[in-house]
Amino acid sequence: MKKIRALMIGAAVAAAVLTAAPAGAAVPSPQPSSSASPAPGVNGAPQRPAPPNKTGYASAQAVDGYLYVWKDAMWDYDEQWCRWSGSHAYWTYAWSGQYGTSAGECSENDNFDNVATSMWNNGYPGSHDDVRFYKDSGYEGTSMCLGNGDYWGNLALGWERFDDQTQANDEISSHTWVRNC
Amino acid sequence: MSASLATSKNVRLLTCTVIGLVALSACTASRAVPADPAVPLTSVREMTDKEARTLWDAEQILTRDCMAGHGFAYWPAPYDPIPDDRDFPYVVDDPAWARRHGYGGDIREQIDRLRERNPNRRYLDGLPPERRRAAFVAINGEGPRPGTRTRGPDEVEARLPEGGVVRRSAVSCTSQAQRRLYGDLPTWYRVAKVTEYLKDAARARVTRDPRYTTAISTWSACMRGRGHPYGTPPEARAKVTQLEATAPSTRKAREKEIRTAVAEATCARETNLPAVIGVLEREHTRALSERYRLDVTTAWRMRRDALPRAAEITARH
Repeated sequence: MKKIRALMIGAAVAAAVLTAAPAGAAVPSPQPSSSASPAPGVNGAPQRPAPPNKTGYASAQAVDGYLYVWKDAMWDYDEQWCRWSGSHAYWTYAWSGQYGTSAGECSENDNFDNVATSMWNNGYPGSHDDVRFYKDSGYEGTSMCLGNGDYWGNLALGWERFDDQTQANDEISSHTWVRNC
Repeated sequence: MSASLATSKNVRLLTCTVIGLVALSACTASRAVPADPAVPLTSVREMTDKEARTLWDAEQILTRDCMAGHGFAYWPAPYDPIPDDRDFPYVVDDPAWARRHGYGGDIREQIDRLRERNPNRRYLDGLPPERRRAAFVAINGEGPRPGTRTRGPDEVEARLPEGGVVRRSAVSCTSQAQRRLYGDLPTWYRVAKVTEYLKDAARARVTRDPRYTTAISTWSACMRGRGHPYGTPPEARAKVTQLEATAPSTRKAREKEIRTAVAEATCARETNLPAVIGVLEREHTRALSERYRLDVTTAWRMRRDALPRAAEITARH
């Protein structure tokens, strides 16, 4: 089957690859996509805007076309979660539109890198409706694939693994849409 | 429904006459697919591109019919919308392709545009929220129920070789289409997910194989000789994308991408890397297939049995 998961170019991805370097202290933090403009806090770090209304997001499930990922097992909306309609190369800034084809809509503008424990692909059906998750940012490293309509409840049971048999729980860093798993 | 069932039985009978030597037990079994020691692993092969296309197209048509039954439109997705969309999981090994696409950044953009233009997306986005919700339930099912650990009666489930559990609605149009195409849905879902997983697992084993690492060292020496001092293909790709980060979309960055990718492919050819990868892939695929032979042979047989049905469906449309 044809996929180009090994191939990724573009400023956003490249930026992700750059910032994925171990000495990532100089990473330029993108502005949260929320309308609330973050004012600098006392230590100079931007304050997080208030988390969006979770109930509002949860009910917005009705209008769909998204990949959903949750921090906790069994699709728990009470804890941190995110969703995207497009790809995202750098889950550290999951909410930012700077690193892929869509900004994440998240329960809070917080790091989602190495966090995901359950997920659901309720993306638009048709062309490129399967999702490939990668261990590394920039669509690199070992990967696992989730078909359109499929869901995983708990990566933490010690069961689910990436295709190289390493643990997938709390290890996923980017995702992209592919033609076929 | 009963008419189509009768047809598929006739088709199955015909198939069994032709391939009876291979899969005797498949002909006596009705729809359930239990253990099938009669199918030797040696008879299992990849579907040809034409066969894969027929199965894809038939499933898309059946999905459209199912959605129509729910009162929704669905546009069957083309099998091969971007002909140059090719998978190089290890190394770019086609210099002509590399000359056209570098590492494929332009194809990535084509995919993004394709997803934006997806007629199903436009249609669904245009529905009022309640109808849209109903349409997503029709195509993908209700989705997971938060907090629920066990499989519901309206779900299918696959336990992957490493123990992972993946589920889907058993009544979604995707599932209905596959039920009509492949017969026993729970079995089909399981073996389809397992064989997908095994394909990825084989790739991971190839890249961990010492013979692969050795071949990559030879390739790396060739790259160095051409002025591209990279240890591995992913490293070469990362360096190029870094350059594009500092000078995005410039002609210079694009030229560098193409130059590097062409060198990667030329060195791959010169150091015989594709042949080495071919041998390793066959070896690791065979080992994994032996280990999960029941799922592998069952998946192959269900695909093969679905082919005449699929051909009939696509011929009608």
